[in-house]
Amino acid sequence: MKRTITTGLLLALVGLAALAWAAGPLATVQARVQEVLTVLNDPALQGEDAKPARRDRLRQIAGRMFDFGTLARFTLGSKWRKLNSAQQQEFIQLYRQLLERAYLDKILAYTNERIVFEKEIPAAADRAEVQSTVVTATARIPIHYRLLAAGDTWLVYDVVIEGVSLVRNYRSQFNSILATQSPARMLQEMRQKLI
Amino acid sequence: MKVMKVMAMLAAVVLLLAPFCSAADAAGGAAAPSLTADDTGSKGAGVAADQNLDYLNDDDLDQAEISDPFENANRKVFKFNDGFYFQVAKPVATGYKKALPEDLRLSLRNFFDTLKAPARFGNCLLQANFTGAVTEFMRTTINILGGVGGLFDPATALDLPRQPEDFGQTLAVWGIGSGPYIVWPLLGPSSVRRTVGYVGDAFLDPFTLLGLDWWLPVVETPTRELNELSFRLGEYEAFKAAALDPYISMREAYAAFRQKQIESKANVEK
Repeated sequence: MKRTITTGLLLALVGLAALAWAAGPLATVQARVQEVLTVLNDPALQGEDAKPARRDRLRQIAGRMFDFGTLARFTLGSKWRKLNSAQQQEFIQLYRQLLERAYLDKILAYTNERIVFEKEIPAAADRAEVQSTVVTATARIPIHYRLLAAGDTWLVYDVVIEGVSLVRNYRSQFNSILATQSPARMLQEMRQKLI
Repeated sequence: MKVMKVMAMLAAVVLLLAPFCSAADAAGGAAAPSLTADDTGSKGAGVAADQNLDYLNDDDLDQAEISDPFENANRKVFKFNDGFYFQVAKPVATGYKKALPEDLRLSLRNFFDTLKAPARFGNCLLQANFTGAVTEFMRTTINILGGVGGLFDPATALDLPRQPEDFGQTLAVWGIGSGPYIVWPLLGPSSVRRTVGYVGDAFLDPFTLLGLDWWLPVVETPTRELNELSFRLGEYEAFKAAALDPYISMREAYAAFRQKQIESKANVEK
Protein backbone atom coordinates (compact mmCIF):
# COMPACT_ATOMS: atom_id res chain seq x y z
CA MET A 1 0.00 0.00 0.00
CA LYS A 2 2.69 2.38 1.10
CA ARG A 3 4.67 1.44 -1.97
CA THR A 4 1.76 2.18 -4.25
CA ILE A 5 1.39 5.62 -2.72
CA THR A 6 5.10 6.32 -3.10
CA THR A 7 5.04 5.20 -6.69
CA GLY A 8 1.98 7.29 -7.32
CA LEU A 9 3.61 10.33 -5.77
CA LEU A 10 6.76 9.79 -7.79
CA LEU A 11 4.78 9.49 -10.99
CA ALA A 12 2.85 12.62 -10.16
CA LEU A 13 6.11 14.47 -9.52
CA VAL A 14 7.60 13.29 -12.78
CA GLY A 15 4.43 14.38 -14.54
CA LEU A 16 4.56 17.81 -12.92
CA ALA A 17 8.22 18.19 -13.77
CA ALA A 18 7.51 17.29 -17.39
CA LEU A 19 4.73 19.86 -17.50
CA ALA A 20 6.85 22.58 -15.94
CA TRP A 21 9.77 21.79 -18.17
CA ALA A 22 7.66 21.86 -21.34
CA ALA A 23 9.54 22.20 -24.60
CA GLY A 24 12.06 25.00 -25.02
CA PRO A 25 12.21 27.15 -28.15
CA LEU A 26 14.76 24.96 -29.91
CA ALA A 27 12.93 21.73 -29.13
CA THR A 28 9.68 23.32 -30.28
CA VAL A 29 11.00 24.42 -33.66
CA GLN A 30 12.77 21.11 -34.06
CA ALA A 31 9.56 19.21 -33.34
CA ARG A 32 7.56 21.24 -35.87
CA VAL A 33 10.21 20.85 -38.55
CA GLN A 34 10.27 17.13 -37.83
CA GLU A 35 6.51 17.03 -38.38
CA VAL A 36 7.01 18.75 -41.73
CA LEU A 37 9.65 16.22 -42.74
CA THR A 38 7.36 13.37 -41.69
CA VAL A 39 4.64 14.69 -44.00
CA LEU A 40 7.09 15.16 -46.87
CA ASN A 41 8.45 11.64 -46.48
CA ASP A 42 5.08 9.97 -45.86
CA PRO A 43 4.79 7.22 -48.51
CA ALA A 44 1.01 7.65 -48.49
CA LEU A 45 1.39 11.28 -49.52
CA GLN A 46 3.75 10.99 -52.46
CA GLY A 47 3.10 12.03 -56.01
CA GLU A 48 1.35 14.87 -57.77
CA ASP A 49 -2.15 13.67 -56.76
CA ALA A 50 -1.35 13.95 -53.07
CA LYS A 51 -0.02 17.47 -53.38
CA PRO A 52 -3.18 19.19 -52.08
CA ALA A 53 -3.22 16.77 -49.15
CA ARG A 54 0.41 17.49 -48.35
CA ARG A 55 -0.26 21.20 -48.59
CA ASP A 56 -3.16 20.85 -46.15
CA ARG A 57 -1.04 18.97 -43.67
CA LEU A 58 1.70 21.59 -43.86
CA ARG A 59 -0.87 24.30 -43.34
CA GLN A 60 -2.02 22.57 -40.16
CA ILE A 61 1.55 22.37 -38.89
CA ALA A 62 2.09 26.02 -39.72
CA GLY A 63 -0.97 26.86 -37.63
CA ARG A 64 0.69 25.24 -34.63
CA MET A 65 4.13 26.66 -35.37
CA PHE A 66 3.40 30.33 -36.09
CA ASP A 67 1.57 33.03 -34.24
CA PHE A 68 0.02 34.62 -37.31
CA GLY A 69 -1.73 37.31 -35.30
CA THR A 70 1.48 38.58 -33.73
CA LEU A 71 3.31 38.14 -37.02
CA ALA A 72 0.73 40.36 -38.74
CA ARG A 73 0.73 42.95 -35.95
CA PHE A 74 4.53 43.17 -35.88
CA THR A 75 4.59 43.44 -39.64
CA LEU A 76 2.35 46.49 -39.70
CA GLY A 77 3.95 47.97 -36.57
CA SER A 78 2.59 51.42 -35.81
CA LYS A 79 0.36 51.23 -38.91
CA TRP A 80 -1.61 48.40 -37.28
CA ARG A 81 -3.82 50.98 -35.61
CA LYS A 82 -4.73 52.48 -38.98
CA LEU A 83 -6.82 49.39 -39.64
CA ASN A 84 -10.18 48.92 -37.97
CA SER A 85 -10.71 45.62 -36.22
CA ALA A 86 -12.49 43.98 -39.17
CA GLN A 87 -9.63 45.06 -41.43
CA GLN A 88 -7.11 43.75 -38.92
CA GLN A 89 -8.80 40.35 -38.93
CA GLU A 90 -8.87 40.28 -42.71
CA PHE A 91 -5.25 41.37 -42.86
CA ILE A 92 -4.19 38.45 -40.65
CA GLN A 93 -6.02 36.05 -42.96
CA LEU A 94 -4.75 37.52 -46.23
CA TYR A 95 -1.20 37.85 -44.98
CA ARG A 96 -1.24 34.24 -43.83
CA GLN A 97 -2.49 33.11 -47.22
CA LEU A 98 0.14 35.20 -48.94
CA LEU A 99 2.91 33.62 -46.88
CA GLU A 100 1.52 30.13 -47.40
CA ARG A 101 1.26 30.72 -51.11
CA ALA A 102 4.84 31.97 -51.22
CA TYR A 103 6.54 29.41 -49.03
CA LEU A 104 4.53 26.17 -49.02
CA ASP A 105 5.56 25.19 -52.51
CA LYS A 106 9.18 25.89 -51.67
CA ILE A 107 8.89 23.51 -48.73
CA LEU A 108 7.13 20.93 -50.89
CA ALA A 109 10.08 21.13 -53.29
CA TYR A 110 12.35 20.09 -50.44
CA THR A 111 14.46 17.09 -51.33
CA ASN A 112 17.44 15.97 -49.36
CA GLU A 113 18.56 19.12 -47.67
CA ARG A 114 20.05 18.68 -44.25
CA ILE A 115 18.74 20.90 -41.49
CA VAL A 116 21.19 21.66 -38.72
CA PHE A 117 19.87 23.21 -35.52
CA GLU A 118 22.67 25.17 -33.96
CA LYS A 119 21.46 26.95 -30.86
CA GLU A 120 18.80 28.90 -29.12
CA ILE A 121 19.48 32.39 -27.84
CA PRO A 122 17.19 33.65 -25.12
CA ALA A 123 16.31 37.31 -25.55
CA ALA A 124 13.79 38.53 -23.00
CA ALA A 125 12.05 36.09 -20.67
CA ASP A 126 9.43 35.45 -23.31
CA ARG A 127 11.53 35.79 -26.47
CA ALA A 128 14.11 33.60 -28.07
CA GLU A 129 15.86 33.04 -31.34
CA VAL A 130 16.55 29.58 -32.71
CA GLN A 131 19.33 29.39 -35.26
CA SER A 132 19.46 26.72 -37.92
CA THR A 133 21.15 26.16 -41.24
CA VAL A 134 19.74 24.40 -44.26
CA VAL A 135 22.57 22.63 -46.04
CA THR A 136 22.07 21.72 -49.69
CA ALA A 137 24.55 20.35 -52.18
CA THR A 138 25.19 23.85 -53.48
CA ALA A 139 24.49 26.25 -50.63
CA ARG A 140 24.26 26.83 -46.89
CA ILE A 141 21.29 28.94 -45.90
CA PRO A 142 21.11 30.28 -42.34
CA ILE A 143 17.51 30.34 -41.12
CA HIS A 144 16.77 31.89 -37.74
CA TYR A 145 13.37 31.63 -36.06
CA ARG A 146 12.22 34.24 -33.57
CA LEU A 147 9.80 32.95 -31.00
CA LEU A 148 7.45 34.25 -28.39
CA ALA A 149 6.43 32.26 -25.30
CA ALA A 150 2.75 31.39 -25.51
CA GLY A 151 1.50 29.55 -22.44
CA ASP A 152 3.51 26.36 -22.19
CA THR A 153 4.78 26.48 -25.74
CA TRP A 154 6.63 28.77 -28.14
CA LEU A 155 5.32 30.27 -31.36
CA VAL A 156 7.29 31.72 -34.24
CA TYR A 157 6.67 35.38 -35.03
CA ASP A 158 9.51 36.04 -37.47
CA VAL A 159 11.85 34.10 -39.70
CA VAL A 160 15.21 35.57 -40.64
CA ILE A 161 16.75 34.05 -43.75
CA GLU A 162 20.33 35.06 -44.52
CA GLY A 163 19.97 38.11 -42.33
CA VAL A 164 16.72 39.19 -43.98
CA SER A 165 13.83 39.40 -41.54
CA LEU A 166 10.51 38.38 -43.05
CA VAL A 167 8.58 40.76 -40.82
CA ARG A 168 10.86 43.68 -41.52
CA ASN A 169 10.91 43.08 -45.25
CA TYR A 170 7.13 42.94 -45.46
CA ARG A 171 6.83 45.90 -43.15
CA SER A 172 8.73 48.09 -45.57
CA GLN A 173 6.47 46.94 -48.40
CA PHE A 174 3.25 47.58 -46.47
CA ASN A 175 4.63 50.90 -45.20
CA SER A 176 5.33 51.93 -48.74
CA ILE A 177 1.79 51.02 -49.81
CA LEU A 178 0.17 52.69 -46.80
CA ALA A 179 2.19 55.85 -47.42
CA THR A 180 0.02 56.59 -50.43
CA GLN A 181 -3.01 54.34 -50.05
CA SER A 182 -5.75 53.53 -47.59
CA PRO A 183 -5.83 50.27 -45.62
CA ALA A 184 -8.86 49.26 -47.71
CA ARG A 185 -6.83 49.67 -50.90
CA MET A 186 -3.96 47.70 -49.38
CA LEU A 187 -6.28 44.81 -48.55
CA GLN A 188 -7.67 45.03 -52.06
CA GLU A 189 -4.12 44.71 -53.46
CA MET A 190 -3.51 41.70 -51.26
CA ARG A 191 -6.72 40.03 -52.45
CA GLN A 192 -5.67 40.68 -56.03
CA LYS A 193 -2.27 39.15 -55.40
CA LEU A 194 -3.94 36.02 -54.08
CA ILE A 195 -6.16 35.39 -57.12
CA MET B 1 55.45 51.11 -56.23
CA LYS B 2 52.42 49.83 -58.08
CA VAL B 3 50.70 49.18 -54.77
CA MET B 4 51.27 52.77 -53.72
CA LYS B 5 49.65 53.96 -56.91
CA VAL B 6 46.65 51.74 -56.37
CA MET B 7 46.23 52.92 -52.81
CA ALA B 8 46.48 56.55 -53.87
CA MET B 9 43.82 56.03 -56.53
CA LEU B 10 41.56 54.27 -54.10
CA ALA B 11 41.97 57.03 -51.56
CA ALA B 12 41.07 59.55 -54.23
CA VAL B 13 37.93 57.65 -55.23
CA VAL B 14 36.87 57.26 -51.62
CA LEU B 15 37.38 60.94 -50.92
CA LEU B 16 35.46 61.92 -54.01
CA LEU B 17 32.50 59.79 -53.11
CA ALA B 18 32.59 60.27 -49.36
CA PRO B 19 30.14 63.21 -49.36
CA PHE B 20 27.48 60.98 -50.92
CA CYS B 21 27.91 58.36 -48.25
CA SER B 22 26.06 60.37 -45.67
CA ALA B 23 24.90 59.47 -42.23
CA ALA B 24 21.99 57.63 -43.85
CA ASP B 25 23.79 54.45 -43.01
CA ALA B 26 24.06 55.21 -39.36
CA ALA B 27 20.30 54.91 -39.02
CA GLY B 28 20.30 51.59 -40.82
CA GLY B 29 23.24 50.45 -38.76
CA ALA B 30 21.57 51.15 -35.47
CA ALA B 31 18.46 49.23 -36.34
CA ALA B 32 20.27 46.45 -38.11
CA PRO B 33 20.45 42.96 -36.71
CA SER B 34 23.33 42.71 -34.31
CA LEU B 35 22.56 39.12 -33.52
CA THR B 36 25.29 36.68 -34.24
CA ALA B 37 25.01 36.15 -37.92
CA ASP B 38 27.94 33.86 -38.11
CA ASP B 39 27.55 31.71 -41.17
CA THR B 40 30.88 30.09 -40.53
CA GLY B 41 29.13 28.16 -37.79
CA SER B 42 30.35 27.47 -34.31
CA LYS B 43 32.39 30.51 -33.47
CA GLY B 44 29.64 33.08 -33.04
CA ALA B 45 29.28 34.74 -29.70
CA GLY B 46 26.07 33.58 -28.10
CA VAL B 47 24.73 36.99 -27.19
CA ALA B 48 21.51 38.31 -28.61
CA ALA B 49 20.96 42.01 -28.88
CA ASP B 50 17.73 42.32 -26.98
CA GLN B 51 16.47 45.43 -28.68
CA ASN B 52 16.67 43.54 -31.92
CA LEU B 53 13.97 41.14 -30.87
CA ASP B 54 11.86 43.89 -29.44
CA TYR B 55 9.24 44.54 -32.07
CA LEU B 56 7.10 46.44 -29.62
CA ASN B 57 9.46 49.41 -29.26
CA ASP B 58 10.58 49.50 -32.78
CA ASP B 59 10.00 52.85 -34.39
CA ASP B 60 13.36 52.58 -36.14
CA LEU B 61 12.13 49.41 -37.84
CA ASP B 62 9.78 51.66 -39.80
CA GLN B 63 12.75 53.30 -41.46
CA ALA B 64 13.91 51.98 -44.79
CA GLU B 65 17.22 50.20 -44.39
CA ILE B 66 18.92 52.30 -47.05
CA SER B 67 18.22 55.74 -48.47
CA ASP B 68 16.82 55.77 -51.97
CA PRO B 69 16.78 59.26 -53.50
CA PHE B 70 17.07 57.81 -57.02
CA GLU B 71 14.01 55.60 -56.63
CA ASN B 72 12.47 56.62 -59.95
CA ALA B 73 15.57 55.82 -61.96
CA ASN B 74 16.24 52.72 -59.87
CA ARG B 75 12.76 51.40 -60.53
CA LYS B 76 13.31 51.75 -64.26
CA VAL B 77 16.57 49.84 -64.11
CA PHE B 78 14.92 47.24 -61.87
CA LYS B 79 12.26 46.76 -64.53
CA PHE B 80 14.91 46.44 -67.21
CA ASN B 81 16.81 43.84 -65.16
CA ASP B 82 13.58 41.96 -64.56
CA GLY B 83 12.96 41.80 -68.30
CA PHE B 84 16.55 40.81 -68.93
CA TYR B 85 16.24 37.98 -66.44
CA PHE B 86 13.16 36.47 -68.05
CA GLN B 87 14.04 37.18 -71.69
CA VAL B 88 17.75 36.41 -71.68
CA ALA B 89 19.42 35.23 -68.48
CA LYS B 90 16.88 32.59 -67.51
CA PRO B 91 16.58 30.83 -70.88
CA VAL B 92 20.35 30.86 -71.36
CA ALA B 93 21.02 29.57 -67.83
CA THR B 94 18.35 26.90 -68.24
CA GLY B 95 20.03 25.60 -71.38
CA TYR B 96 23.44 25.85 -69.73
CA LYS B 97 22.19 23.87 -66.73
CA LYS B 98 20.86 21.12 -69.00
CA ALA B 99 24.08 20.99 -71.00
CA LEU B 100 26.55 20.81 -68.12
CA PRO B 101 26.37 18.29 -65.26
CA GLU B 102 26.16 19.69 -61.74
CA ASP B 103 29.60 18.41 -60.74
CA LEU B 104 31.21 20.33 -63.55
CA ARG B 105 29.28 23.48 -62.72
CA LEU B 106 30.30 23.14 -59.08
CA SER B 107 33.94 22.83 -60.10
CA LEU B 108 33.63 25.91 -62.28
CA ARG B 109 32.08 27.72 -59.37
CA ASN B 110 35.00 26.72 -57.13
CA PHE B 111 37.44 27.84 -59.79
CA PHE B 112 35.82 31.26 -60.19
CA ASP B 113 35.64 31.54 -56.44
CA THR B 114 39.36 30.88 -56.10
CA LEU B 115 40.00 33.78 -58.49
CA LYS B 116 38.35 36.04 -55.94
CA ALA B 117 40.54 34.76 -53.12
CA PRO B 118 43.15 37.56 -53.34
CA ALA B 119 40.38 40.13 -52.94
CA ARG B 120 38.90 38.29 -49.96
CA PHE B 121 42.32 37.87 -48.36
CA GLY B 122 43.22 41.52 -48.96
CA ASN B 123 39.95 42.74 -47.52
CA CYS B 124 40.36 40.59 -44.41
CA LEU B 125 43.71 42.30 -43.89
CA LEU B 126 42.27 45.76 -44.55
CA GLN B 127 39.63 45.03 -41.92
CA ALA B 128 42.31 43.83 -39.48
CA ASN B 129 40.51 40.48 -39.51
CA PHE B 130 43.64 38.37 -39.21
CA THR B 131 41.85 35.13 -38.39
CA GLY B 132 39.91 35.59 -41.59
CA ALA B 133 43.03 36.39 -43.59
CA VAL B 134 44.84 33.29 -42.34
CA THR B 135 41.76 31.15 -42.97
CA GLU B 136 41.39 32.47 -46.50
CA PHE B 137 45.09 32.02 -47.20
CA MET B 138 45.18 28.43 -45.92
CA ARG B 139 41.94 27.61 -47.65
CA THR B 140 43.13 28.89 -51.01
CA THR B 141 46.50 27.14 -50.73
CA ILE B 142 44.76 23.85 -49.93
CA ASN B 143 42.21 24.28 -52.71
CA ILE B 144 44.88 25.08 -55.30
CA LEU B 145 47.27 22.30 -54.28
CA GLY B 146 44.79 19.65 -53.14
CA GLY B 147 41.81 20.79 -55.17
CA VAL B 148 43.41 20.67 -58.64
CA GLY B 149 43.99 24.37 -59.10
CA GLY B 150 40.85 25.38 -57.27
CA LEU B 151 38.42 23.08 -59.10
CA PHE B 152 37.52 21.38 -55.85
CA ASP B 153 36.96 22.74 -52.40
CA PRO B 154 38.41 20.35 -49.82
CA ALA B 155 39.12 23.30 -47.49
CA THR B 156 35.51 23.89 -46.50
CA ALA B 157 35.25 20.35 -45.19
CA LEU B 158 38.39 21.07 -43.15
CA ASP B 159 36.57 23.89 -41.38
CA LEU B 160 38.30 26.57 -43.44
CA PRO B 161 35.24 28.34 -44.81
CA ARG B 162 35.32 31.02 -47.44
CA GLN B 163 35.56 34.53 -45.97
CA PRO B 164 33.05 36.53 -47.97
CA GLU B 165 34.77 39.89 -47.52
CA ASP B 166 34.84 42.57 -50.19
CA PHE B 167 35.99 46.15 -50.38
CA GLY B 168 32.48 47.49 -49.89
CA GLN B 169 32.46 45.78 -46.49
CA THR B 170 35.95 47.06 -45.74
CA LEU B 171 34.74 50.62 -46.32
CA ALA B 172 31.83 49.92 -43.97
CA VAL B 173 34.20 48.62 -41.29
CA TRP B 174 36.19 51.83 -41.74
CA GLY B 175 33.06 53.72 -40.83
CA ILE B 176 31.91 54.88 -44.25
CA GLY B 177 28.15 54.91 -44.79
CA SER B 178 26.51 52.98 -47.60
CA GLY B 179 25.32 56.07 -49.44
CA PRO B 180 22.18 55.87 -51.55
CA TYR B 181 20.82 52.69 -53.04
CA ILE B 182 21.66 52.13 -56.71
CA VAL B 183 20.30 49.50 -59.07
CA TRP B 184 22.80 48.94 -61.86
CA PRO B 185 21.79 47.43 -65.18
CA LEU B 186 22.68 43.72 -65.15
CA LEU B 187 24.63 43.99 -61.87
CA GLY B 188 21.49 44.64 -59.85
CA PRO B 189 21.16 46.04 -56.32
CA SER B 190 24.08 48.07 -55.04
CA SER B 191 24.96 51.21 -53.14
CA VAL B 192 27.46 53.99 -53.70
CA ARG B 193 29.78 52.31 -51.21
CA ARG B 194 29.38 48.91 -52.84
CA THR B 195 30.08 50.42 -56.24
CA VAL B 196 33.36 51.87 -54.98
CA GLY B 197 33.94 48.42 -53.55
CA TYR B 198 33.73 46.83 -57.00
CA VAL B 199 36.44 49.18 -58.19
CA GLY B 200 38.60 48.44 -55.15
CA ASP B 201 38.24 44.70 -55.57
CA ALA B 202 39.11 44.93 -59.24
CA PHE B 203 42.62 45.93 -58.17
CA LEU B 204 42.94 42.62 -56.31
CA ASP B 205 41.61 40.60 -59.22
CA PRO B 206 44.23 38.08 -60.43
CA PHE B 207 43.79 39.46 -63.96
CA THR B 208 44.84 42.89 -62.73
CA LEU B 209 47.53 41.53 -60.41
CA LEU B 210 49.08 39.52 -63.23
CA GLY B 211 48.58 42.30 -65.77
CA LEU B 212 46.58 40.08 -68.12
CA ASP B 213 44.55 41.27 -71.07
CA TRP B 214 41.58 43.50 -70.31
CA TRP B 215 39.11 41.27 -72.10
CA LEU B 216 39.67 38.32 -69.75
CA PRO B 217 37.62 39.76 -66.88
CA VAL B 218 35.06 40.94 -69.43
CA VAL B 219 34.55 37.31 -70.42
CA GLU B 220 35.00 35.93 -66.93
CA THR B 221 32.31 37.98 -65.19
CA PRO B 222 29.31 36.94 -67.31
CA THR B 223 30.49 33.34 -67.40
CA ARG B 224 30.77 33.28 -63.63
CA GLU B 225 27.35 34.86 -63.22
CA LEU B 226 25.77 32.46 -65.71
CA ASN B 227 27.29 29.51 -63.88
CA GLU B 228 26.07 30.86 -60.54
CA LEU B 229 22.59 31.48 -61.91
CA SER B 230 22.35 27.83 -62.97
CA PHE B 231 22.23 26.97 -59.23
CA ARG B 232 19.72 29.67 -58.42
CA LEU B 233 17.06 29.30 -61.09
CA GLY B 234 13.63 29.73 -59.58
CA GLU B 235 14.82 31.85 -56.66
CA TYR B 236 13.98 35.14 -58.29
CA GLU B 237 10.58 33.84 -59.39
CA ALA B 238 9.81 32.72 -55.83
CA PHE B 239 11.02 36.03 -54.48
CA LYS B 240 8.76 37.91 -56.84
CA ALA B 241 5.78 35.72 -56.07
CA ALA B 242 6.19 36.43 -52.37
CA ALA B 243 6.47 40.19 -52.72
CA LEU B 244 3.77 42.83 -52.89
CA ASP B 245 6.28 45.35 -54.17
CA PRO B 246 9.29 43.41 -55.48
CA TYR B 247 11.33 46.60 -55.87
CA ILE B 248 11.01 47.54 -52.19
CA SER B 249 11.38 43.93 -51.07
CA MET B 250 14.61 43.58 -53.03
CA ARG B 251 16.00 46.86 -51.78
CA GLU B 252 15.37 46.07 -48.14
CA ALA B 253 16.61 42.50 -48.49
CA TYR B 254 19.77 43.77 -50.15
CA ALA B 255 20.44 46.25 -47.35
CA ALA B 256 19.74 43.71 -44.60
CA PHE B 257 21.87 41.04 -46.24
CA ARG B 258 24.81 43.44 -46.68
CA GLN B 259 24.48 44.59 -43.09
CA LYS B 260 24.67 40.99 -41.97
CA GLN B 261 27.73 40.38 -44.11
CA ILE B 262 29.47 43.44 -42.68
CA GLU B 263 28.72 42.41 -39.12
CA SER B 264 29.53 38.75 -39.51
CA LYS B 265 33.21 39.64 -39.71
CA ALA B 266 33.08 41.10 -36.22
CA ASN B 267 31.83 37.76 -34.95
CA VAL B 268 34.77 35.89 -36.37
CA GLU B 269 37.02 38.38 -34.62
CA LYS B 270 35.38 37.84 -31.22
